[in-house]
Amino acid sequence: MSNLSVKTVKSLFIIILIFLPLQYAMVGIVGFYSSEPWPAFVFPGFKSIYVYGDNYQINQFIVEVETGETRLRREFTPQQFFYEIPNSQVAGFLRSNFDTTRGSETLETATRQWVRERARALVDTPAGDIYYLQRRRYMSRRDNNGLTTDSVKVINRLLIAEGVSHED
Amino acid sequence: MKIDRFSRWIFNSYSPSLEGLALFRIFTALMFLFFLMPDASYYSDLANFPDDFFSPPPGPMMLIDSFPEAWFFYIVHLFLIVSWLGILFGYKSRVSSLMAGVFMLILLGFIFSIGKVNHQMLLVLLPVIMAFSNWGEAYSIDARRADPPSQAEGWPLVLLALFVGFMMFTAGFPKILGGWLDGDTLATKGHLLNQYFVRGRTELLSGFMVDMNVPWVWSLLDWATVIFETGFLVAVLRAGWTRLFVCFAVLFHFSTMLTLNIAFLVNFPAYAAFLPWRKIHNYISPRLSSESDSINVALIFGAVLTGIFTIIKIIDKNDLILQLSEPSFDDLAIIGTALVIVIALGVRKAKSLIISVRS
Repeated sequence: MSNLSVKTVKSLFIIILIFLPLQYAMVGIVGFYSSEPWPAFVFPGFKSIYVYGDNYQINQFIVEVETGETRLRREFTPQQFFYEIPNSQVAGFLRSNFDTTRGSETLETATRQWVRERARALVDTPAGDIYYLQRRRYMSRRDNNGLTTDSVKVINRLLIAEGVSHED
Repeated sequence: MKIDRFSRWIFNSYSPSLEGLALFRIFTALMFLFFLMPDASYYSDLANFPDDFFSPPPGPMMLIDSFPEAWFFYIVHLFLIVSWLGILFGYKSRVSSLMAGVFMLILLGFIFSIGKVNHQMLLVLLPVIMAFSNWGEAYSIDARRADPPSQAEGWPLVLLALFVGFMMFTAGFPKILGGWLDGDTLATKGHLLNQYFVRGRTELLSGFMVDMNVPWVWSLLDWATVIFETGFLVAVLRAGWTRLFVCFAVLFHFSTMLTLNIAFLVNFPAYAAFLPWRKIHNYISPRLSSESDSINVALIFGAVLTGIFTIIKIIDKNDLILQLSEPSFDDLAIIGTALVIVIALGVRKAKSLIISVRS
């Protein structure tokens, strides 16, 4: 097998040494205005911080399905509702597909139908309206025995699919 | 002729042997074939998702409108397997290595078009970079050709180290900007709570760590993470430093696996490239074969690894030992073994240092 010449290899290194910081800058710019581009030679930054002293904030996402005539609501974690999506991708999937600007009116009919069928399979009965909830849980440490939940606030409640009575 | 520093760094940092590279090739191919292929059962789910769920990241995937049919995934997956088998047996090794990178890139492109990019580029980079090391020139079908074998190339290992070091830096640098080094923030703990309460990663030591209320330990972990991730880029300048940071990386991933339940197994074949494969070959070769039948080394090495990986896979698939949601038994077994190797290498290094100081 022929090897690359010394000159070619050196040139390759020079190009890559210039390319890597440039693509990183591009990842930063595109990521700021849109989302992280791909493919890119980066690892996750995990720069967000959630803890200040003894107070903690945790954002939780829930899919809420109304069931039966009483419209009783059943909650599912995203991992339960979108069970085929790997755990490492669920949060990003939710951000991309169910952010605050997208609700049932912007989801395609086929998507709403898919969500309804999934809900029906999970609750084992035709589902009513289906919501996507973002809740913020405020926790603190009062002693050394663990964390206490102080309050839970619903930040956003988004209708993602209407119930069977509204079906198109 | 005077060789400049830049050339010395590129060409003299590593001096692998063809046989050592061949053992690494066999190890890597088996790692991919057993543990690092995309989950084929996911393809039909992707193909059945509504088009709305196709949210490609900025880049070439935006040229496509929706997920393709499942058969497309299966064909590319099959090509990927064939490419890695080509690497395993050393058949048209360079082409097989390049194609393994291309097919993995295609599959990951679609898998990440669900709205979330995972950082698994080393799965693509490793075979592509190692294609130029001549890792298929010994213990292979290619080696049986009439042509004289090429020399083992060390510069692809420098290039691989550069990519790993730079990518580590991109993980560490935003943490500095994000305030990880501010003593009050306890960012590691924040991520632990997020993983525990939001993502449901509650296995192994995560519960113990959630309850651990020792701020200086958390602050120390924040600092250690940032220093390790940013320092890796500097470590790339010398082979010894790179190997030291690879050892730190194994410790880092082992601890995040135990506490955050995140196992980054995808990086481990790249880390394994920096093992002393020449020494490993020199150690096992006389024990496994006679001079007249040196191919036995590769056959026995490959067979033993296949046996071990098969056992790990059977235990994992049948939940025979640990019933964990995340990490899998695969992750625990391999990353745990990597840690044992790192400890053994560390002890050996310490012993040799003590002996050299005494003498």
